[in-house]
Formats: sequence, C-alpha cells, structure tokens
Amino acid sequence: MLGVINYLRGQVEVEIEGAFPERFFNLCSQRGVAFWDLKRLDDARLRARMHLFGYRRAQECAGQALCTLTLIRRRGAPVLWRYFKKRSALLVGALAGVAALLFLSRFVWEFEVLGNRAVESDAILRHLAELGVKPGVYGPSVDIETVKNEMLLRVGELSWLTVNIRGSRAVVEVRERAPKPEVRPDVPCNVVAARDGVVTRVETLAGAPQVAPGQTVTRGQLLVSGVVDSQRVGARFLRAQARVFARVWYDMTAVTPLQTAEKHYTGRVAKRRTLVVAGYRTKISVLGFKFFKKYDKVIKTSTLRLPFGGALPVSLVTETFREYTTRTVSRDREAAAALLREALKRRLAAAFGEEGAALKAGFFETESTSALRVRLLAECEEQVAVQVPFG
Amino acid sequence: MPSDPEARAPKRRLWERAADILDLPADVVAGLPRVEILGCRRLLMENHRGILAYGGETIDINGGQVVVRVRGQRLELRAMNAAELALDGIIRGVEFVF
Repeated sequence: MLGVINYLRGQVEVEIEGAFPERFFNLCSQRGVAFWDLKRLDDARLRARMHLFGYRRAQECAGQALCTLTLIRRRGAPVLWRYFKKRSALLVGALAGVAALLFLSRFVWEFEVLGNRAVESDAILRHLAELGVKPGVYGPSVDIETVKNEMLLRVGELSWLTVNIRGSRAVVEVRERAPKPEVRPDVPCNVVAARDGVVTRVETLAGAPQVAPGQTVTRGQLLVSGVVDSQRVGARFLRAQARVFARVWYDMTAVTPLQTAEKHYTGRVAKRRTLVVAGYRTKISVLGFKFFKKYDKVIKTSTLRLPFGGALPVSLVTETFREYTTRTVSRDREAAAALLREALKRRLAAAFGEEGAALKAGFFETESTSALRVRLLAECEEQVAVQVPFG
Repeated sequence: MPSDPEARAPKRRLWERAADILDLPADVVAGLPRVEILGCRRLLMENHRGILAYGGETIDINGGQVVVRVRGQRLELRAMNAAELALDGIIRGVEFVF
C-alpha cells in the first residue's frame, strides 16, 4: 500500500557521495525530507530513495553536508504525467481508444443459447435474427419484452425465453414446454396377431388366452380376449395384455445395378474465399468454378477466436469446388452381392424387432443382364401380439 | 585507574527525574529514545537525534545522551524522518555507548 502511495506521489532514487554521508541524512531528517531503502555501495557512496518533492531540499542539504547528490532516476505517477503532457496526441489516442472500446462493447457480437434440449440452438438464433437480434446489433436498441413475446409465438416448443445482454455477449435462456404426457386410454381391448405364424410361446398378463403353442395364426386373429367371463362375477371387459411369440417367415428381395456411374475427379480445383464481418459478406476471390460442369462443393468456415475462446464476428468462408466427371463402370459382383446381403440383414433385423431372433436364413442370388438380385428367405421368432380396442 | 561504569554513566536530567517521580513515560516527557526491536530483523527507534555512523555491520544512532550502537549483518536503514527511524537486517546486538 505504501508502495502505491509512493508511486502516486512520485519518487527519486539518488546516490550520495561524500566523506560523511550520514551528515546528509541527519540534515534531511531534520528538515523533513523522508527517505527510505538506504543502501551502502561502498565507504563513500550510498543510495536511497526519497519523494520527488523533497529532492530540491535534499540538494540544499547535500551542499551543506559537503556531499554530492546524483539523481539516478525518477519514477512514479507525476513523472508519467509530465511525459504524457508533452505528447497530447498519445493521450487523446488513448482516450479515443477507451471511448471506442466502450462504444463498440455495446454491440452484440456473440450469442449463446442455454436451456434448450429439443429445439436446436441454430433454429432459435435464426428466429432471433429474423426479429433483428443478430450479431452486430446495438445492444440497448433491443426491446427484450417484444423479442420475448414474438419468439414464444414463433417457436411453439418454448415456454419461456429471455435475452440477457452483457456487453458484447448475449445469452439467450430458454425453457422448453414439457411434452404432453401420453395418457393411456384405459379402454378394454383384445390382443390380436400382427403377422401370420406358428405360435411358440404365450405370456398372458391380462385377459383370456385363445391360442396355444403350436397353433397357426393368421394376421388379425384373436390371441387373447379382453372379455373374461366367470360364474361368480359375470362378464368383465379388460384391457388384455400379452406377449405372444410365433415363428414367422420373411421373403425379401434387394436389387442393384451392376453398371454404375462413378465419380472421377479431374483434379481441377477452384477456391472462393469470402470474408464475413458482422454478417456482411465480402468476396475476396472470384474464380471460374462456373465453367465446371459437375462439381462438389465443400464449405469450410473458420471463425476468428480470442485466446480464451470468445468468438469474434469475423469469419473466413472457403468454398472449394472440385470438378469431376462421371463414367460408367462395372461393379464387382461379389462386392455388390455382399452389400445387398448386409442391407437385407439390416432390413430383417428391423422387421423382427428387438425381441425377435432369426432362426434360419438363406440368400439366393439371381443375375439379369444389368442387375443383381438377392432374395432372402428367413424364419424368425418374434413377438406378434398387438392390442386392438373393441369394436 | 580502573574505570567505573557507574562513574561513567551520565547524570540523570531534571526531566527524567521528574518523569520518574510523577510516574510519567520518560520518552514522552524527557524525550528519551524509545527502541523497539522486532525479533532480530527490525529495529524501530523514536526520538533519535541522527545517525553518527552507517555501515552494513554497525550503525550508530545518536539518542541524545546515549549512542545506540546496533551490530549485525546486512544492516540497512529502511526509512528515516526527523523523529523516527527503522532498521532492517540481522541484529546481533544493541549496545548503549555513553
């Protein structure tokens, strides 16, 4: 703390040389010139620090004590002030810089969306941009209440939204609407078969089973009835629940052409760079990609970032155009067949579901002039029961 | 003739005696030096009359009727004004020289 005060008041470092430097310090202390950090350099020389305003009086003391006082250096706020007083442009520049910083920090450059799960951040930001709240907007001009109301009307999934603007950063906090809970209608129903098959297992949770293992069922056939009749209670209508497994058969076919068009890159590449500053696009380079008949376009956006991670509203968009030509090539029959087999397996797995399993499967390949056809015949065991309301 | 320390001790001044009789602090009434030592690292002295000799191992301070001699290593005058001074360094001993 004392160091800060001394810095603000300004201090000098001096060297005292003489036969009796102690006399100089005694004189100084008597005349109210405070000093500190006294160091002896050798027998006749000492170095000390004192206040800037005490230096003149110290010079008088040095004269009386027959010592020579040499100024080593000045430091502190008054020295700095004297330095800047002569260089007004520097001072004006610094003040202008601070003013520019304060003014520019009121523009919003960075957006962050918090609290969203189902709704994409980009979708929220896109809607906000349509309402004028986008990078480069002047912070105080944003009417948050209006934005809030408009946004809740536009994005139905949101139940609450607020925009907190802190300097050049806007944090959009949202809360999503809780999804409507699925109300299970407690209406009585039957369990019927979803597919044709041979029943292997019946697990009845509620209702009266109508089939037994080994029995053949057709699609839509009643498996477990929701009507339970008993002598004591009479007929009751239940919501029948059951898991019925059955052996089912699948016949699937997949076709692929044996001749296919393949991309062949010519090696001609064109790049177009665009500088985007606060949403304004400036083309840096224009190239003749339009002469390409067919091309792939790859867009890469590099955003300028500060060392601690904050994004600046400056980004470089590089569009790369790679020209290609197509040519017809014959595909390898085995590779094409393997692809089809994989695709059929995936289709089958999707068909019998998580609870099912394939018992037997066989692939049959036929080839025509231009296409390869693979047929899958499979026997699976799967859950075939579905609930159907009465009537 | 052997020197007698009692004989060498200076006579007490009127103010000192008055301070003793009236039970008043002598440093305030009689202007006697007040020496405060913090561990063996710092020495603070009030009511000094100036420095008589200054060195890294010995510093003599005028205390009016007595000279306070501070011995030690790397002794350094931290700060000084008309009434107070502060010394830093490793203090090995403080001696009063009459």
